[in-house]
Amino acid sequence: MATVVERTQRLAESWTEAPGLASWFKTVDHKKIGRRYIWTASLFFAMAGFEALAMRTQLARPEEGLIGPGAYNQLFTMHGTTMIFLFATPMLFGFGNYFVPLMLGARDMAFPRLNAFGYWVFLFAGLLMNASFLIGQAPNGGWFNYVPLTGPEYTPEVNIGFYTVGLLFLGISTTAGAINFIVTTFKLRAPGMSLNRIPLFVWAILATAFAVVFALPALNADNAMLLLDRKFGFHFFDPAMGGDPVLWQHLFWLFGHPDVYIIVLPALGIVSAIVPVFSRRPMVGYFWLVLANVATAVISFGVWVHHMFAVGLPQLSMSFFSAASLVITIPGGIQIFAWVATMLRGRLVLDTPMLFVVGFLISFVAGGLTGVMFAVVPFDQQVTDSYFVVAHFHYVLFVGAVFPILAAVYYWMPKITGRLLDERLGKLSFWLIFGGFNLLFFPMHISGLLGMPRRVYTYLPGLGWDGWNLASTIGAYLVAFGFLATFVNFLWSLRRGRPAGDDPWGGDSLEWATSSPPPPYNFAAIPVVHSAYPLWEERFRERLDGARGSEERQLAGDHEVLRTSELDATPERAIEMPEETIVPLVVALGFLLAFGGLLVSQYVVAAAGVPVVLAGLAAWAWPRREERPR
Amino acid sequence: MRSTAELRRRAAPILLWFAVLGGAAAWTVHLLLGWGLEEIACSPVSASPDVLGVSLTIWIGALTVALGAVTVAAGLLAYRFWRQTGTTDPNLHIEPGGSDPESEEQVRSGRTGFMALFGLAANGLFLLMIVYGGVSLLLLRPCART
Amino acid sequence: MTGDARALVAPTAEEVAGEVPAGRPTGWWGMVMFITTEATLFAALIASYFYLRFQSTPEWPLGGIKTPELSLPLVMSVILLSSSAPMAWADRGIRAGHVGRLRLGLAATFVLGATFLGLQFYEYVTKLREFTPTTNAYGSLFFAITGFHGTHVLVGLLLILFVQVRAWLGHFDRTRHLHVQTTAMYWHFVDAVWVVIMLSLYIGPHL
Repeated sequence: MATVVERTQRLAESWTEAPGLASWFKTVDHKKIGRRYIWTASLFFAMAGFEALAMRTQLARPEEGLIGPGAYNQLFTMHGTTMIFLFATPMLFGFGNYFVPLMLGARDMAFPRLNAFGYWVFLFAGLLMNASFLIGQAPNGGWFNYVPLTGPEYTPEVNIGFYTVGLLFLGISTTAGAINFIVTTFKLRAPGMSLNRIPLFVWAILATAFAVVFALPALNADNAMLLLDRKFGFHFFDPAMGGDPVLWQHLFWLFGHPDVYIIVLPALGIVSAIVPVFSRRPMVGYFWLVLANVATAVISFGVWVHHMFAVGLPQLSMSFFSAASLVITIPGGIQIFAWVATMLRGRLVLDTPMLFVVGFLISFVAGGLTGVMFAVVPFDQQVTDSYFVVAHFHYVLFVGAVFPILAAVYYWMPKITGRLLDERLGKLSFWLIFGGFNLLFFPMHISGLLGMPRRVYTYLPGLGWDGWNLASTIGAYLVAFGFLATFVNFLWSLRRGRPAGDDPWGGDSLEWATSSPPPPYNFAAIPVVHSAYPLWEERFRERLDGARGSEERQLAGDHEVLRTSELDATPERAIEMPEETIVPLVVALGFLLAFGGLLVSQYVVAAAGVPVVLAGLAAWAWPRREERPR
Repeated sequence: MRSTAELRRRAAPILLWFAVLGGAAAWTVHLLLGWGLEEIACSPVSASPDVLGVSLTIWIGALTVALGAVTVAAGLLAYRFWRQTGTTDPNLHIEPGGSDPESEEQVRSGRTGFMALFGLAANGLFLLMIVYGGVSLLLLRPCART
Repeated sequence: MTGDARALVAPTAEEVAGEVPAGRPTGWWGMVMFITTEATLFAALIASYFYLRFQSTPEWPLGGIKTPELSLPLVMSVILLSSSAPMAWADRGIRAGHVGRLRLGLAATFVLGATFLGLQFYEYVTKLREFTPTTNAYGSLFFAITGFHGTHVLVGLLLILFVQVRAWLGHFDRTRHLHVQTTAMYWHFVDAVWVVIMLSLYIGPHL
């Protein structure tokens, strides 16, 4: 009979990946992959941020002359595309990758190799798209890339190729990640974690993942059709030959509207993770928050035409979408009410994570209100394509995604690094960002109503827009300094931050039941939960520590996780997870060859990618010795 | 020949899923068919706002009534199942302070009540959207454009 | 009987609480999700087909292209759809531990699937004499949708081949057969998509 000590040692051995450079390419550990997503997404955030600063500097004064129209088109296109596709979702998936298994009491994601693969594809697709800057031909048709401007007739150059091929490539990563989150949440929960006890952050990720599964195909179909039109002379969007440019818009927004919820829902999940902890009480309306998350994700598929109210569609069809657009605000509002109720009935602790949450609450409601205004067709048709739109979506997307992400940095980084960030610098960063953000984007409501169109590289003086634009630019620089402060704070914390310990905040969910950072196997014994707030259960820690004595609970076989049932999380069996391997990287490289070759019309290169992918997949699916019958 | 009891045991959880997702499915069909029929009837090449000889108003009206009824049915089932679990607390066994002697049955009934209440609320939302979509028929001429 | 019917809609609390779904392996869910997303992709393409069809002049197909002849596609349909039977037989066989049935069923499915692709190739050769993807939007839609489906069939054949090799190496038995099951699921999905394509692209224009 093995002792606890022997079992713990075996656990550490089977879960610790070999040190060294090779391991860096072969890792399948969700914590390492999560950190990579966060780092890489931060780099893309910085790039897109500089693109924004460049645009704001150009627009500070009328007829500034710093940036010409061609370059400006590339800047606003890549700013939006990078922020949405290469920063927001990957960053949130990064936090999801790190914390979903921990919050579920699991030792890894359901498909560790798929996880690694998803990261490599994200990295390669992001690099591919941004490589376009090296030849001065970045995508320049706007982040929603409307035809016929982006079709073969008006933009034959390769700029748009980077967009279509890049996003087709990236879509593989997003979908793989989503499937991984779904299956992990279905099958790897701690015993006792029935549906009504799943942490709200995990519910948010689950709703998001389902939205990805249903929304990405529309974008992929769209981009594939545009690629075929551009490269091979097809006619999907060519009205002279029976095609229709409006088809691009329908498919794009069929993806695009769910996408904004794909971005916002995980961020709202972060808020739901933070509010109970910093209100020192369980969430008021846990049930209503689950309902709101799922309902929002579902309804988001029925509102896409509200991005097309100015296209000339029949009124009756627009009314379907207007109806859904009005109703989708209900679950949104429910979330706000639940959070506010929890804060009011609790004892508020205003540390930096909670400051960002409060700032988020105030400004997100403002953004939501202008959103309701857009659901009213006549109003929408007046302000379409003006700076009012820019103001609205930054209020919901910047506030809705970036503020919670910053809150997560202050809340969760200590778990990842083992060190707390500095509170004073955190508060300074918050005020710079909150104040700067409002100075940057509030004036855009006004300049938009005064008629300033979006996507213009300059404007004439004397239209009443000058002062607002200057104010915005000042705000942009304040925001930039605010981010710098958080970045410096993070670096400082690595060396000089106070050690976090297991649970610096008095948290309620399972990630706080293990060390900071967690050991490779996350939990020495598989936790059992009896509520949605395991760490606040009576004597939870004692019971978990005691469980180490049980061989069954310690699960110290070879790299094992516990599979549980879908709805009630009753234990099913132990399953063995794969070891580190180079195969996911090889398959990702095969795809890079295929997509890269396609982009530059080198079809032999593209074809060469196919056998690499197939061979890699065969190696991936080949069973290990232990999996074969005797 | 399976006994009714056996059939019922197998059908019951599926009925629960209908109570949870019925409205969502109905609304999806309402949106896709309603919008689709409208696009066909009002397309530039269509002679009149009729599809297969039946006016668009009747089509969408019928869809609204039928799919609204499905949603109501799902909602009623959800209500019944929720009352059956015997609790009105939507949080259902998630208050902290739980300890080990909790039966599997308790966990399951908590989860079931949660699903049922979810279905009740969700079906309400989806019924609202189906009705809104149908109501617009009374206010707008079939193929008017702005 | 109505008493029974009413009883069906009035289960007890305990019956309603039965856990469904339960007990599925992670790989099974992975394939279900993959199929879901691919099905959505096909749905987007078919929706685009109908969208463009009803935007255009009442003449369909466009540009004088003949409505698709049905005899070859009907034969193709029979061949592809019947291939689901040996696939299901193979899947059920290995669950009972019969490796022989697995190998035979996979082989039969492969032959039928490959025949389908061969016939589709012949169909393309004939059609390309009349119109190409670059002729007009109809041509683009026809070749893109059927081509995308054909690619899925090809991938299915590769999966079957892979599973067959492993079947001959003795990798499967009555307890280990998840990859057979997921391959079968994928194959049935590909067949189901063909039904939709058949109805939309081939039979639709005749109505």
